[in-house]
Amino acid sequence: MKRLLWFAVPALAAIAACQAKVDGAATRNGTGGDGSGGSGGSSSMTASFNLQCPQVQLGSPVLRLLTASEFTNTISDIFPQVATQWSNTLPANTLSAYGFANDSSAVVGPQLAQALLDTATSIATAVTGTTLATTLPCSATSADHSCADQFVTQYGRRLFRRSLTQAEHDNYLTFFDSALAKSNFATALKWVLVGLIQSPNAVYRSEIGTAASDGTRNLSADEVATEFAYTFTGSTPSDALLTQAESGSSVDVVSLAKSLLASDAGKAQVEQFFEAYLGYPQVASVERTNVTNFMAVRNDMVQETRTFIDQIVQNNGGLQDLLTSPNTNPSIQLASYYGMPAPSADYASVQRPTTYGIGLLAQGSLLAANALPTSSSPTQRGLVVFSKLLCETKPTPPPNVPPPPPPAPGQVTTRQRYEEQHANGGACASCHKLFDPIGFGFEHFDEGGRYRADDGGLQINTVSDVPNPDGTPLFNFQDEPTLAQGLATQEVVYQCFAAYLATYAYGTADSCLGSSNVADFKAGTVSIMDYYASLAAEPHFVKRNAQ
Amino acid sequence: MQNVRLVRATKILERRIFLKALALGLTLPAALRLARTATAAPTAAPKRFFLLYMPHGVAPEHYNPKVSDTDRTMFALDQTNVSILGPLQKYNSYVNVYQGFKYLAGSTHSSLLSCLSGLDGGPSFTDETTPRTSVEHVIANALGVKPLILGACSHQAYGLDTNGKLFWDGTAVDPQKNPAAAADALFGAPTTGTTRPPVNADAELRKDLLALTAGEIQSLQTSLNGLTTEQTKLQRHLEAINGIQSGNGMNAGVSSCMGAPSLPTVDMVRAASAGNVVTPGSGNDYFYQEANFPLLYQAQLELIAQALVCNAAQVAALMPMFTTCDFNFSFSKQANTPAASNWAHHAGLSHTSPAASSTFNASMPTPNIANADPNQRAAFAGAQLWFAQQLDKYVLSVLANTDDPSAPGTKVLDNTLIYWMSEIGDGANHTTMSSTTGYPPMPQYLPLVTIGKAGGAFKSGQIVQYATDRPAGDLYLSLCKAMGVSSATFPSTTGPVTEVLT
Repeated sequence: MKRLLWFAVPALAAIAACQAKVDGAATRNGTGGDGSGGSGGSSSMTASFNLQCPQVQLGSPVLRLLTASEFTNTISDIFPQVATQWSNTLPANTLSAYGFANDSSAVVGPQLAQALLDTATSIATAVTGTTLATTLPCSATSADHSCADQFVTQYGRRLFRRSLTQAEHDNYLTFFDSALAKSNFATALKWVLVGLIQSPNAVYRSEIGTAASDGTRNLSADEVATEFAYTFTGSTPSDALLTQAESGSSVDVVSLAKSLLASDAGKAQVEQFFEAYLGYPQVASVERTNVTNFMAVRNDMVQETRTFIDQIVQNNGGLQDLLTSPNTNPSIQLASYYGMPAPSADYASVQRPTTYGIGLLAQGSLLAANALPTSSSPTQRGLVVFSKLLCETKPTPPPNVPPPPPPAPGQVTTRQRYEEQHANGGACASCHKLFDPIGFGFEHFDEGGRYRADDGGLQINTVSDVPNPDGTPLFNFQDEPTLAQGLATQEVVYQCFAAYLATYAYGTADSCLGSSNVADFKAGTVSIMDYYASLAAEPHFVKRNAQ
Repeated sequence: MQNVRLVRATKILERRIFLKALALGLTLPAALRLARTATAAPTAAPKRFFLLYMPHGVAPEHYNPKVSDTDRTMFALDQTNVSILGPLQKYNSYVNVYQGFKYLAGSTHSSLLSCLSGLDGGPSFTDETTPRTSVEHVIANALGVKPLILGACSHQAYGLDTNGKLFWDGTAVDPQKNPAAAADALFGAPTTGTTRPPVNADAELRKDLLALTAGEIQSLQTSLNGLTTEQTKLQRHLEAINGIQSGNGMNAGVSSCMGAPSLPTVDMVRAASAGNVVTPGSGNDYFYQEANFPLLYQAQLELIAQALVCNAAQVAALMPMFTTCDFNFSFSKQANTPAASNWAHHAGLSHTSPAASSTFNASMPTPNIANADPNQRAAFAGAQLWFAQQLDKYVLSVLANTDDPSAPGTKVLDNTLIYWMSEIGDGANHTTMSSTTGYPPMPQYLPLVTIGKAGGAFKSGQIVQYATDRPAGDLYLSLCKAMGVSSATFPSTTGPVTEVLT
């Protein structure tokens, strides 16, 4: 176990060790795009990772804007007494090219600044309303400068995630005095709180650090405590965590990360990663008009996949377990919809019938979300594997892309339609040959995510291959189970998953920030949760490059 | 010198109107604003601007107006097969259709990112970081009003994705998804019974606080000496705070109505979405459900119509759906069009190429072109026609038939300018400039339409055509000028379209 002072720099040996671990050759280089490496940030329209990491790297010092979700969690944790009494008008976050809302390059533009002000005003109005005496007992007995001082000291520390400097403290008290002269105690305190909430010291998580003698930057104990809290619970550090950090005591960073991940907030943080990474909840907003009862079960599909992932991840499962588990977790109604045995209770584990596929990729939510309204879509399903498990860059479709030929039940299969249009030469083939063949492996699942024995009465052919970038087969498969099992043996799949998880944790896709444990992750000795927690032990977690 | 009796009479009248407005349920600030407006001296009618987006272009053989060769004011909008523009025929004298314009940056759906700001970046432009301002915000900012920016399922549930970034005010603007919330903000929502400080104290303290926040940003910026990327990030934040400060007087417009308008469709959404529980990051938000899209679009249109009538929003914009959105459009099937085999709006409908004949014929056999199915093409036209039908039903018919409360003797549509556009031209070819398409060839243009006269500043009732494409920014300059914004600039423009300016 790695024990560190809050602000200590991990030994450089960790960097050297990474080189030895990651040098194992991948059969697919996984660079995606031009192989120049992921620059990260919203400036890139297409996701592109550099998966070859001869040496672990440090990222840049950064001010990380809280996401709407992190902001909400933060306020709910600090002011639980008014949790239902304020309105949140924050707009949706801009998603990075990788699909995550926490891009570290995000800025506060006019709309967000206005929304922060409006939302902060709503929160502050609630806090300084009828429950103020509970929040700040002195307000009931001596509502004065001294009482406001208490408020600024206590809640300023929670909102800034560090103690206010004397200058900051004085500024807020001066503002309070001025406001009190123009209004009353509650109103003056309200605007003080609005200021604290919308302060740049509150809405950005500082990962700036201070310059070190070697030209890098060391993050402060408060910054690291904040990083722990948001990375592993999606919310602000507790008072206890801040105090522990400020004490300067040593800490087992991986154990701390694990304990945070084991909390309800930590579990939610992991769930949020998978939701954003895979996009499976999107099934809850689509229609499949030709599929009986689809509307009744589509929300259950989301919960099924969430439970399926939770059970594996929370039980220290690895990526191989996720890809090849023979079980799933449907509601009773959803099991009936699928035509599989009912679980003992809603979302209890049940073994899939042997023909119904295995693992994550056979989840109804993923299959139905990646389909067309009245047809399965080998293209969309193939792209899930192509971009999310192989880290290849989805090409931009050219103009005049013809639509898929309409379904012709009983005349041609979906695969035949797609092969006719995409695979057999022509302009489409050059791109579609890279992902459509993968998607053919899912043809036993219709647009509603259900198993189907045939396609409109015609025999289904799922025999295909996962192509290399040059079009040669990386491996062949017979059906969805052999596709999933084949993927579970590919190093690039583990590198790719690890790159997505590190991008989510660090808010940037800068290359090789979390690569120290990828080889162990692939070997199966490190579970998904262990790998996530190990990101706290990477040099990037406590140290940054100069610029 | 003021007439004391007149001042007193005005005050009494203001008080009566104020109390009446309160009784009607308006919020305190709205009631105050209304009372003051009602007794203000008559002024010229305020001009309103509404920008409506329609995703995925059109099928030109079902869109192009039928035009007299010699007189471009002689045209018909309802005689081209399915006639996407047919619902506008009855407003013919208010309508301009534009032919011969192009977007300068992006191709295919990526032009969404730049089409309304006129950025010039070439066909491979996909940049999302360069600050830009789209035309509706250019107008609103210059007029000093807060634009009403609405969306109906305008992006996916997870966040503001690339395919939803149509509107920009420096950074991308996420449209308000909930028409009920937008209506409450405009016309007032129920308030709690908490004791409130004097309005002026709050306004003054808010202003003081913004100065404090700006000071904090500057202080943090200074402390990051050498970290230019982060300093730039804070500069954007500082400018946004300064923008709020300078726009302290900015409001949504001065209401010309005597009470909150009736909004039955918005109320249907309010009722249907009540208790909407959203799991963060999930797709279960009522406002992103595919099945709810038609009602949300209609409610947003209804709200915009009343906001324009009442001048509660002087500038409004609406983004229904997003680029590459594949909502099932079977609900849009028109009586005279065949059923589609694939109703996915983007992949199924818009991606169908023009048929072997530009003449719609439901019984025509499918030509021997893989993606040229005339029935599918007609269904696509029917889907786009549905957008026009809703525009007519919920906005145009209201504006054309409502006396302008702030300018007796005129209709609201006389004092309004509506700009209806798409990010591409031909839905299948994803064109961002004029060209020919189909077999035999037919001209296709970006579908750009205006409706309204902008208080007499805009010359309508014509087909405005150029043989050589002009940048869309030229048209934006004209829209701005008609709205009284002469200082607007857009990249790489060649000057306003003078044919439309009076």
